[in-house]
Amino acid sequence: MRKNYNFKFNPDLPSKSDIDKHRDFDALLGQYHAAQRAQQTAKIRKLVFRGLSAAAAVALLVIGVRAAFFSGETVPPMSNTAFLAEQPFIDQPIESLAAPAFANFRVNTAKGGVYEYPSGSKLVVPAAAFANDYGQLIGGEVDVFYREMHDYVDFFTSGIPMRYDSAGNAYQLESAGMIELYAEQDGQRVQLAVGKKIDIELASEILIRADQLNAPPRYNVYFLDTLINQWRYQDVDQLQLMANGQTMTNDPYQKEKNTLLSELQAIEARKEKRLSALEGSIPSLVKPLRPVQASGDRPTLELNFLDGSVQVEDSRNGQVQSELAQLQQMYQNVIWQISEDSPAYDSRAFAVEWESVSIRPINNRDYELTLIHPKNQVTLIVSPVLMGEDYQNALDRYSEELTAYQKTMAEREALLSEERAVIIETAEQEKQAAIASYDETIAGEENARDLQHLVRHKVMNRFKADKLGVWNCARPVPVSTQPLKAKYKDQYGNTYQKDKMYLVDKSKNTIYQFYSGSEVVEGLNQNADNLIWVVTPDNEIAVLRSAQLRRINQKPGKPATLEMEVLGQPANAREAREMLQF
Amino acid sequence: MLSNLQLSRSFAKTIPMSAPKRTVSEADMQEEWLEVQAAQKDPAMFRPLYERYHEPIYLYIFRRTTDEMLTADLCSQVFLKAMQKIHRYEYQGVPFSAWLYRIASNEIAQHFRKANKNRVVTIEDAPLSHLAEEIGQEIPEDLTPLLIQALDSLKEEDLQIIELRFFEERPYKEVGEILGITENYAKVKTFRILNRIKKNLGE
Repeated sequence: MRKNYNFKFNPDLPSKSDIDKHRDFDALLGQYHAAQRAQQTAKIRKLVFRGLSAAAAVALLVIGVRAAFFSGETVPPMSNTAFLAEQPFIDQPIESLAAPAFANFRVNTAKGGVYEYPSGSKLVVPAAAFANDYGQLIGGEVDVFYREMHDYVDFFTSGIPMRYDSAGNAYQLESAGMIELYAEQDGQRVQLAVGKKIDIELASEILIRADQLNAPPRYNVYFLDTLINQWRYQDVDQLQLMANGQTMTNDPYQKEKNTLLSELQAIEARKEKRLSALEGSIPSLVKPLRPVQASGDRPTLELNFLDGSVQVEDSRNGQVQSELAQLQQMYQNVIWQISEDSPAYDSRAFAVEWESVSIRPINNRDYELTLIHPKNQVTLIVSPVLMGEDYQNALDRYSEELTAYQKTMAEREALLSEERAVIIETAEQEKQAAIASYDETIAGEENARDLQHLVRHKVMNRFKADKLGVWNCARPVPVSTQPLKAKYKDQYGNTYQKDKMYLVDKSKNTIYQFYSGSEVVEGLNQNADNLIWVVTPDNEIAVLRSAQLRRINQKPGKPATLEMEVLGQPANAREAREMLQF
Repeated sequence: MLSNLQLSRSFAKTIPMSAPKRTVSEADMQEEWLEVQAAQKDPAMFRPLYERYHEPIYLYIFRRTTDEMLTADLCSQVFLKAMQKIHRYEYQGVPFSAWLYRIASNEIAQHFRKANKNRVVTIEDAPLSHLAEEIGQEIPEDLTPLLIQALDSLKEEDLQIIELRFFEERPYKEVGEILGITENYAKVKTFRILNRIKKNLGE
């Protein structure tokens, strides 16, 4: 049985005299005066911080109010865009909440370094990566500061906006994880040197549709340009879904989603097994290798793979051995050219009688050759080449082999393609049936259609940062707007008509900001749970929950009164997180 | 304890909802508004309001915590907040106490949210019987555990209506004032909640 409340039966109620023991107005008045004094001090500190930036806004406001007053016209509601343009671009809403906190690590600039963050993220800093303001490389040690922002509470406390403008269109960035980086030497900020990049692996989580787990949507990488106050597209995020990475804490559909995911995984496994069996029914041919002509200015070696004198390190079940033998049989007089990328070697090495020789492939073209002697060992990078007439003969043979290969593979594809399409289509139909059955199971649940198909999944975002600052792995989503003439007030009667409101929708990892006086609310999603909040002048958080939003009954021309609940002033980021849970 | 609350089929009949037992006259509210205005100018003038409402607010909190020290602490917070926010209070034709109850309700909710504990609901024999009567016909013999189960499934705002109306026997007008809804809507909501409970009991 569910247990939402703690029922107590027939408790002894306190008597009047018991209650009177706690009645002390003078003590309360003392508390009131002490709290007032503390608040005054905090307000003065805040005014000093905000004074300069507010001055310009106040001047504009005064001009606006005077113009409206003297003209006698009603001031039209200000748009969200106009309001947000007047706000600081990065607007940390509660100054005392400096969150998320930065971690730092020290890098020896001569060597670079690898830093692993507790979340599982990793940063690889190359050597000679930092420069001063004049672009000159700096030596010694540098302190790198790093923090991660994963969800709407982190986005809120950091004050980093998620609005993205692309070619004049406004989008909202739905994040798969965000980081901020800066570096200092002896307390002075330093930059990344030109051409240097920090490799980032950001461990995070995304919300993804259960049926997209095998083909996740594309995420990009954006850099926050604080000179022009805009996000700038940088690259594609090399996002990888982690194995068994589903996390469903507090998910009301956890049980049903687990069942659905198991079914989808079973369908996918069945599909892969069938496809593999199908591919195996007509074996694939090895594609012939195009011969390469010796360059003439690089040293070469002769190796024989047919007499067993060369030991082959075979990680592909005998395939490497047979490829090399085939290479030698196909191309008579094949020789091995030492690559430009080969480690430095002493030419006297070729005068030594080596006891054994081993070879292993390192890519499609190059091999690592190790020459072994009891007292010495030399490693070279080599690739097979041909000279003169041998090359021309090999090239002719390659053309014939390639034509035959392509013909055979085309016939094979013709035989397999139809059956492959049937397997894929069957799997797709099975998935749709599993989803339909899931939908039926949870039918009747209200107001969360967009959440029902989403699962939370661990991911690794990979990208290269060529600048220090804020980086966001995200995808742009259109900004939905809804007309709403509302009067926002709290339980104490305070109204919030000229304030920055925050809104989150549980089905998207982002945070919307809008102006309470705009008569338009941005990001409200009727198919998911939403939370709207405002930071009061006393730095308290006042929230408006989904249940109240669903009850909005706006009469034409009249504002709907939305009552927000003041939850108090969060002492730290943890308290802010608790207040903003929904 | 539960066995004491078992109800017989004799309650299984529909009776009219109970009549309001408390009301505040317009004249009383006007007089109180003058006291509020005085307190808005000088916090020391909050004393008569404090003296008048300390006990009902204390009891309201106690029924939702059943912990004396916690109640004293929360009660003190409620009045401190009221004094800090009173300059924004506007008379809207409802008793000042409604505003205090709403602050208390928020403080209680905030406390249980922070403590990550389930909120206390006080059940007494007589009011539970009263609720059972309201639900009306087809009540099973061993009603109480089922009724508790049905109450446990209610949302916080719905349970608050049941508590205010049936456990604390407040008139609909006052229920509406405390919850910030109209008297009519409080009646409609109560009707719907009772229907839902009845349906749960029938299943």
